[in-house]
Amino acid sequence: MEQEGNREILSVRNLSLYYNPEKPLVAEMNGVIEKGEMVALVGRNGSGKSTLLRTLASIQPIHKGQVFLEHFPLESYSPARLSRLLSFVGTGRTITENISVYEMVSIGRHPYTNWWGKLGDKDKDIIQQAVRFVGMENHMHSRLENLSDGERQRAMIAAALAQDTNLVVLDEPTAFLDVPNKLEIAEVLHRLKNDGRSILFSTHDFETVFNYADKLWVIHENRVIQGAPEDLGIQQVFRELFSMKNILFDEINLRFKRQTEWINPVYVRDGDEISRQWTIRALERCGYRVTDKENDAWATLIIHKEGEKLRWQIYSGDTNIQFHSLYELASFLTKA
Amino acid sequence: MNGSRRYVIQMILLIILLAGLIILDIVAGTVKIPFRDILSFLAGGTDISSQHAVILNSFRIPRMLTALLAGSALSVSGLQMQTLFRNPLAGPYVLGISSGASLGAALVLLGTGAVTTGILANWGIAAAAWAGAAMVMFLLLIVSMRIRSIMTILILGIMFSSGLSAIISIMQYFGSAVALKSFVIWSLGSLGDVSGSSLSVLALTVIPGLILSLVSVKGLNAMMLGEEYAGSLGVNIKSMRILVFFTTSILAGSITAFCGPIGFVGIAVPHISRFFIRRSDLRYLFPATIIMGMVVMLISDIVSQMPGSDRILPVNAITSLIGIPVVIWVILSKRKAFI
Repeated sequence: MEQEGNREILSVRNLSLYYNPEKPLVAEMNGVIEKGEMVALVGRNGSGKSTLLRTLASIQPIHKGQVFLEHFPLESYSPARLSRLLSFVGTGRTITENISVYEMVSIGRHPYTNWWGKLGDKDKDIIQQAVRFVGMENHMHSRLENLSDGERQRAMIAAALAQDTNLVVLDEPTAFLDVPNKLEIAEVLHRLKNDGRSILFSTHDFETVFNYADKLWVIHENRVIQGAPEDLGIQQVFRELFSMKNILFDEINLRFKRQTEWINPVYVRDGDEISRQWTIRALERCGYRVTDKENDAWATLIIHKEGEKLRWQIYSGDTNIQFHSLYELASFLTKA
Repeated sequence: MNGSRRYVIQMILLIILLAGLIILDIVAGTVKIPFRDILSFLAGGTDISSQHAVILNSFRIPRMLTALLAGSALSVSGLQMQTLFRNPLAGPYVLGISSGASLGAALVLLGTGAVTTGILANWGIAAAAWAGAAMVMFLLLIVSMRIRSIMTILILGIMFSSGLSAIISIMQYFGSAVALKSFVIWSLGSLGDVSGSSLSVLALTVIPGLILSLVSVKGLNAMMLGEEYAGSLGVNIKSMRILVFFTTSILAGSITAFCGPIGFVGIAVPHISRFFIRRSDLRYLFPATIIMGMVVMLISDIVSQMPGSDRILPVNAITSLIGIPVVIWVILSKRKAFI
């Protein structure tokens, strides 16, 4: 990897973050972001994600250690020079009335405009491209206060794009958004990455992480664990990171599962793929385990499909009951 | 673009209104001067009685020019502070700059018991008021170097202001009756006491102050979206604060020094301008606020002349009566946004 050193956009060496030296948030972190890489930062609330992002974006001073941006120490850049190399997108909760998407994105051109902020033809082109890039061309002249949270976030990303920096840092860009909006933001970031930019963002959202991130920085007990999301999955990092009483991270299905102590094995027969999967979910939610072996099973569940209608039949010893929905089945199982 | 054409039309309307008010302001007054004479005088004509010419030259035109300077200076300092503090209720009055100036004036008028008429006394009051405004600004500047939270600074400004008012009350309590009267007259505010050399001094401080404040427009535009964001756009937050504090104390300090404390123009006019042009981008809002400030000040002055009557009302009372409803409207109509 040494010969590819020139692809390094950001390099973190022995970085420690602390407000109290006795209790560092992050200790002795090392890490690299390469050109065109999308890095996701995850960790529990209060683990220091925001502090790390703000430090790397030079919003707050480095407590200890070194950060190199495009091969030079972060603190060697003037604010004006830095603003052409690194852009920062907050959670977008700072709203101003009476300002349009176009006007806000044009503020992103500040590092390149004159003292009055006058936009040249090239600036105007870049602003319109940026707004189109995030799919907001129909809202070019809409007011920020009339946009949804997701649209406002996309406008913020457009402003960062207009800033034309190699590294874009985003603090929880998908916070407070619904699932389609989250994925839309993730798609925009993915397009930015394909455009050759490097992206560092913090998130709690595993759909985004596993679908899009090239690399993961996980803050866990003041250490930063790194790797492709899949590498960390094999190392069972998530299971350790999110271990809680009764909750287990399912590394196969990438979801969190309730873990109950009372586990009766159930054998599930028939049904198509979709109805089987949802039936298994319902069983697990009620604290039942699914087994492959009919002989070990506490009960056998048969999924009957008649036309469009589904019917569930459960056998256990002398019991033989039928249900017409998973809701009925689950109510029975939780009472059983 | 459609939006910028609308802006041009709005600005033309505003300038026409301003021109009309300028003429109306010169017409208004206890001595009736024929309208035709005024127009011909303004056009450079000389066929006007010498008495009328003196009234126009020495009183009405300086008064009108003072109104223009005061309106633009107070409004611009209010706009700058509202944007810097991200608070719709910030203004030179709230932050204690006017109170600082009042303390300076009170020290001269109440503390020294000096003769309070004549040019020297006027200059003494002005200089003391200036020093008071600068002192408050300097304190705020020092505090803002140490304290990051802009809200804390705003609250400190309000505390400074209340503290200074308390000191002034004590001085008023112990002041002699004559001194008290001249202080109260000063504190009612007047546009009519500025003429000749003091008008030149006022213009020579306010106009460079307005030009200097133009430099803050780009940085303040970014700061509307948050200080951190502005920082990531390369705006030097500390020097922006110094620039805004410096220009504000020049602008608001000079006006308070020469005209007395004129309240609610600084806080209300930026909102009236926003409501009128419906834009927050300071590159558009800034020129509109300058002209709107002149318009509001001229209206206040015309109303204070009470056309058709011999009496003149204190201008500070008129600006408060215009400004307070605007401030109440702002408080009641704010939903989620700050500015």
